[in-house]
Amino acid sequence: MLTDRRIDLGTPGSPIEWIKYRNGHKNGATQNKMARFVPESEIQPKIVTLTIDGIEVSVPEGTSLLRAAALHGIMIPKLCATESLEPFGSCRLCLVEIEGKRGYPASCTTQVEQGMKVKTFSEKLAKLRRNVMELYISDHPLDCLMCPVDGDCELQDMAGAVGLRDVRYGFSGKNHLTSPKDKTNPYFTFDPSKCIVCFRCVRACDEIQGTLALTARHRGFDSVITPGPTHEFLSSECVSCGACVMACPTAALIEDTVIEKGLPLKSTITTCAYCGVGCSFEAQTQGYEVIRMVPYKNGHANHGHSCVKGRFAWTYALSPERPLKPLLRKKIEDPWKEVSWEEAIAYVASEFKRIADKYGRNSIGAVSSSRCTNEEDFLVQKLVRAVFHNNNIDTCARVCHSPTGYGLKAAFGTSAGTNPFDSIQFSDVIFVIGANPTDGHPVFGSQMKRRLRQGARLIVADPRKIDLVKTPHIRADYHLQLKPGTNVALLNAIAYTILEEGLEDRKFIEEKCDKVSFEKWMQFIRKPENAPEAVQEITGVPAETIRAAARLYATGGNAAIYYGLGVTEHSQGTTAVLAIANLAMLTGNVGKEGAGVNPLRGQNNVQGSCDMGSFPHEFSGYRHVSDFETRMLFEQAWNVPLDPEPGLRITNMLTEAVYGNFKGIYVHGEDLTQSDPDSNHVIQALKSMELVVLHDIFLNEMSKYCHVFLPGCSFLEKDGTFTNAERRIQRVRKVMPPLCGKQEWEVIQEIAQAMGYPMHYNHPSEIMDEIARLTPTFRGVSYEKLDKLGSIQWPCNEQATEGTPVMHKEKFFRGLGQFHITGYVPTPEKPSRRFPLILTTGRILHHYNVGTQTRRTQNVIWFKEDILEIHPSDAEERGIKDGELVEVTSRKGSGTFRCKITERVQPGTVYATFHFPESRANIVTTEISDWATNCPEYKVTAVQVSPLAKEAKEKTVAC
Amino acid sequence: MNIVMKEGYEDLIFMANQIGDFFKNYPTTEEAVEGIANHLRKFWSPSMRQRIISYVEKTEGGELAPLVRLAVEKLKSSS
Ligand code: SF4
Ligand code: SF4
Ligand code: SF4
Ligand code: FES
Repeated sequence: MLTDRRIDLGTPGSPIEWIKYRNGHKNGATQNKMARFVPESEIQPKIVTLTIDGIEVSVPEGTSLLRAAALHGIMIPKLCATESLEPFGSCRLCLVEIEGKRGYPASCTTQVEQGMKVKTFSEKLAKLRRNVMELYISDHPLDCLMCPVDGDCELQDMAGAVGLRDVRYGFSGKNHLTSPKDKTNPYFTFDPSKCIVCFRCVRACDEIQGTLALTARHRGFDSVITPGPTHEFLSSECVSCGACVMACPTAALIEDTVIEKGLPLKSTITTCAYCGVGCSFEAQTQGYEVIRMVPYKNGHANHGHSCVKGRFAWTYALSPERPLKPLLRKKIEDPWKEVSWEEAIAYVASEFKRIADKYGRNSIGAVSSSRCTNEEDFLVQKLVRAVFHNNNIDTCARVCHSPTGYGLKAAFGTSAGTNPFDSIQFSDVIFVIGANPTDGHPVFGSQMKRRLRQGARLIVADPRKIDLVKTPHIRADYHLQLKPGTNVALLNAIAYTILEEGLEDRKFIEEKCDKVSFEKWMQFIRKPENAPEAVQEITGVPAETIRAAARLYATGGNAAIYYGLGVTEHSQGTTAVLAIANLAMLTGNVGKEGAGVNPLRGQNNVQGSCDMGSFPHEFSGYRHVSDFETRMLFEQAWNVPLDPEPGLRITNMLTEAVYGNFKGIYVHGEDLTQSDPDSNHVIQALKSMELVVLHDIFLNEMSKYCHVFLPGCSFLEKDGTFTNAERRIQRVRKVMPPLCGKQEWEVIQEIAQAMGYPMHYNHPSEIMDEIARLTPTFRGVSYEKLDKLGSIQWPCNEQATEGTPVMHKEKFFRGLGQFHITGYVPTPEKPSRRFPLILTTGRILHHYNVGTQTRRTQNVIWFKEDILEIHPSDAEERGIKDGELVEVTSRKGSGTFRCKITERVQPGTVYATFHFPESRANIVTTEISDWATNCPEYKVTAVQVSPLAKEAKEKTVAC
Repeated sequence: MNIVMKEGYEDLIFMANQIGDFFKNYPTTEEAVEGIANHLRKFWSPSMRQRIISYVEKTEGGELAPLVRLAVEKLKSSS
């Protein structure tokens, strides 16, 4: 495998924006100086002409000699330079001669100049380079043939390139050949004997990841690379993103799988199946065996970066716990019986038909998943609408981002974020509310940190001191540490301040927004109850801080809002999304680079599953089922009459089940008992159904109440597309055949066929073709175009043939931007004497959702159990000690957590992660949900925390 | 949502009142009532709408906020 670690300086692969950013960085237009957005068309880089080895070359000003040469096919030996990092100039291998200049400057750190005459090869240069290599090799083991990267090592290549034939110093001098390896990280090994101290890893950790975990200990010959502060990877600050491993030119930092199995032979580009960043990866294989996942440098969402989950935590896909045959039982008390696909599908189809005949067509439905592909989600909703003849289709996106769908559609006209990730490079002010990007969306978190290190200002609104509030070289200008459940009050107060102080963008509002709605909204927002001085009581944030943050947001330049589940998972989730949209319109921060309203989606395909018509009231492209024209379009294409009335949402299906009206459900890639509120209610509902079909890769909690289990595929086994948080559609490519024999779209198709509906696709690309035919915003999307462009941000149609990075540029998608009145209504879930603390929830970097996948990987080495954070004063009051097990009780139930005493949370608030089902235990599952979308309120629960009784502690420890 | 079990309407009453809370800040009663009714029409399944209508019919809807009750009545007359 010669392509991945080698840096091909000849192909500028990254998107323009990115290159601009990097060039800007190189030119010193960074480090506290703000790069302002200049439209593409206005950038006229000055072209410099020079000669290199007698060849005339022309390149933009600011290009390094090394790159200028590479662009024209002239390769200069190099070691410490690599395309993804700033030039460093330490190895002295890339020396050149420049006419009229003394000495031998390093070409990686020397910029081109008009008329320069450069020589890259001469007797003298060759000698100098050989000397350099000789020194390196004299302190390097000569076990190349046994080295894991034999054939993929830049040191080896350079030794060849400079013609090194012998080493005069021998190997008996002072060297590092016996330094012990650091194998503490479960995924990669550091072998100092192979380290050439090129600092690429240190720079990757600083520049790309922004964790600054690596340094060099000692000086000169003695310098060794070391992870701080503990000097071993596992316990250090390292977050296992793998950027250093990727940057290392030798085998000093290398994936364990490569040490074990050798270098991969084949590479397939695909998309990470964890979070909504949607990183592109090269799945590198030997045959069908995945050796490693390497972030793809041309990936438009990640530009060659990754986090520990996508990079390393993919082994769950090969877990022996995966059932690979369909399982069937008539009653849930019976044991499972393995059956053939034919038998399973025939049973599912005949049962759905029987139930619909007996109880009516509305008695069955389906739930699809935001972890599955667009094509699969489209087919599941088609199965429901065209074959089940109702609209009882919902998606697990209901429980995370349905308020985003509702809110942004109502305000702007599309249920989606407005700007691409790269746009943050043009932000002057970044406002993060209810999101924790460094843990939840790590690769975008790194990009955000990069912009912040360059000097963008930061406002964080979060009940907890998230890492961004204070991290190396970054400090939030304002941390609005509000009480959980008071987002709307805070956002209203910010808007109040902007209006009161006359900081709004009148021109934008007049040109682009609906005046009537603005006037009405203004009357509402100007009410005294929205003033920061009134709201400080509610939010706990001092009025002056709210005002200062409002001023910064309104007047600091391009201001972008990033938000997450801390906004949506509330009883007023939708209201908060609308309030955010109001703020952005009020200040003219929509429709341009560096600004916008940007939801950070939890799961990989939340955006896609919503786009695909997975909600009971709308077809793909967010068109209501009552819309006659749209319905006719679908009726004609599918050749069936379709129901014009909205169907049931997940919660309503379950309630109807308890009433005895809803009897059969197909659940695709989802665990209703764990991801949905009130698991007792869910269990009761499932038990009252006659057919519960689960299609998933593991027998999850819910499988206990299922009649049929259909084995699913991991993302490595399927073809399709995911759509990330920036509306970017990207290909998922099959790396190995489905272990269970069938891709999921094939199974859905066979169920439809067995129920008598003709559904015939030969490949997911044909499903995408149908989506494109039926969905205006997807009109121009095809697999062919995706292969050509790499990714497409919808809308992609006749007006935007290659997609739309920034939305609402000329005008809002809906015409005029709509202001909404967003009155604050406190959640009914209030602290009381019995439950005096407010519990809020979040996620940690190493795990994902309810942990079904990550718990089956070595990521458990970092976190084996869920953590509850509590303020020292609350802990002391309760006699709780750091690190002990505590019991958390709410009105709904109780659970056990390992507690961490910290000032990250304020007194009165506790914070917990929910990645392990053992601790979940019904605590956060109150019946309260968002008023508009029923998105459950996971972020506010009144609880009591108490030390675990001694006997219980022993029992928990024992089991 | 086990409250549902006690009484066939309580889940819907709770949801409808929450919807009412959002629209109650609208400038006029008509706008608020129309907002609520429209939301129910667009997002509630016919069976849910029927259930809340029959609740108002049977009990006069005392547990619904006044604006919501008006909206349900509007829904009833238009269905
Ligand atoms: S894995 Fe990432 S965080 Fe850890 S040292 Fe390497 S670059 Fe830094
Ligand atoms: S570990 Fe690799 S990247 Fe880091 S200094 Fe050593 S050789 Fe260079
Ligand atoms: S940031 Fe998200 S998409 Fe990227 S590798 Fe990590 S989990 Fe995957
Ligand atoms: S590549 Fe230029 S000094 Fe190392």
